[in-house]
Amino acid sequence: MKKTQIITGCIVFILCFAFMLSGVSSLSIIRPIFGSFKRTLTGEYSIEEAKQVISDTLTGDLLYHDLLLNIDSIKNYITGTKIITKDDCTIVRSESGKLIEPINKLSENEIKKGVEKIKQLQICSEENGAEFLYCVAPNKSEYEIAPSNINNFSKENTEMFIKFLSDANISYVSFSEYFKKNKIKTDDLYYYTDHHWKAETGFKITGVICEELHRLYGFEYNTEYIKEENYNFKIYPNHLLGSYGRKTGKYFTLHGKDDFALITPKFKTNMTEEEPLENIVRTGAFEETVLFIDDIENVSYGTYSGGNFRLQITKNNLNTDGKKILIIRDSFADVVTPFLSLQTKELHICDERKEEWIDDPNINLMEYIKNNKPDFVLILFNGVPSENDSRLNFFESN
Amino acid sequence: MIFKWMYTMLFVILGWVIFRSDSLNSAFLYFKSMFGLNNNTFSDGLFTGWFEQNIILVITGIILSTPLFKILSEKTKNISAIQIIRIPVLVLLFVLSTASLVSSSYNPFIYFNF
Repeated sequence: MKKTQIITGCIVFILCFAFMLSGVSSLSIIRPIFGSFKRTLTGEYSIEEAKQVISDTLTGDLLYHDLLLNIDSIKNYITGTKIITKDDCTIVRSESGKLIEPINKLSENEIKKGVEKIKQLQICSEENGAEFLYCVAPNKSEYEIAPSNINNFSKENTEMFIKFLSDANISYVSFSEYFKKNKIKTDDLYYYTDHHWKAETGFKITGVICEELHRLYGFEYNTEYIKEENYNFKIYPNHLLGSYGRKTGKYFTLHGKDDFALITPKFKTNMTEEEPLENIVRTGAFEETVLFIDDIENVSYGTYSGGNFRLQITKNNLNTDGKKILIIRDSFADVVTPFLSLQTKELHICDERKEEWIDDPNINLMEYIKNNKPDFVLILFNGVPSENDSRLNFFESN
Repeated sequence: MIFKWMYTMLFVILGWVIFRSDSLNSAFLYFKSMFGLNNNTFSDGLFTGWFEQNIILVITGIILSTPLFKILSEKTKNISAIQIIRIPVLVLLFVLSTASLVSSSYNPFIYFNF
């Protein structure tokens, strides 16, 4: 082998080795790796468990993990890759450049069983004097065109779901029907890099909910509180790398990070926010209660509502004659409930999902409705909840 | 020569189908699809999508399968500038491979299945 080739080879080897070493040299990597070796020798870990720990540590705590993710996202964009498959999901870049997750086809039976559970909650609500409304929040993928090698049944599932809601005489409002009827452009309702709709969309949706409750049940609400001119919209440009973007890298969609809006009222507010299961009570203005702002420069989707709680109660201290609403929600309601809370005396917000970030036991809604006597019971879920969806754990208490 | 290469590759590819199939029945169905005998069309949305998304890699693979790089390498082996450029190119390829591994958080190696 020629001398130059040997020298080239050595230089490449040294550079690559230095690159690897620099990424794994922090204690946050070395300790878990040596720890897992030790635990395997003592029998505490199996080989598979040790491999998993090493793999998770190397990928998660690598010094330049995010940089490599972004480099890979550029490579994927250049080579025309549109589908990224992860352990827990498949993320697709749609024709418009937004990141979506394709939805599998649900069977009629799966959807019907889900509707039956919703019907039970409606019956329970009405037996306790509460009016009921199901809010159908469209999944982002309904408005996007996936590549031709991807099957996405989001729209078909939703159409079937709405048909079954209607057949079961469940009062509902479909926001996709609302957007269509009012010729609202749907290309700016969702974030590019996240599965959620935007804060601005949540704000509009609150108005739609109030209008529908008023139309169906005579719900009185303050029309000034749903007008944009009565709010400050602070825009953080190129700020939010959403859930999908964090999995695929910043440049998988050339759009980069999303702009993020922090919406706060211009008018005076006085509210109380309670987390009864954590014994936390906060009182103050809108920004100090229903928004969770630790650092005004680092706001995110979770700034609205504070993320996910099993139970959260907000009280509008300036609306003591208002109504009491119980809303059963998923994360799409994060950007709805803060604005809805302005229209109520009390807003009880319940999340029944079995997820690792919600420690508290489920709430039996039959008992909760009986004990708290809300005037309205709402459900706001995105997409279609099928039979085994944990969002429908309305009557468990464990 | 080309004919020998073609029938060798044909039997290698047919062999891979058997290697990866769960059963002989599924291998047989796969063979039928490969020769258009399973009521499948030559191309559909599924094919078009995957082909479009991998066209750059396919073209790159075709080019790299030819002796082009070997010829270029021979012709440029005495040019120092080329030797110097090879270093960052090889390191870049290493970084891209690592980036791909980190991004996927999963390094599939089928022989571990045995």
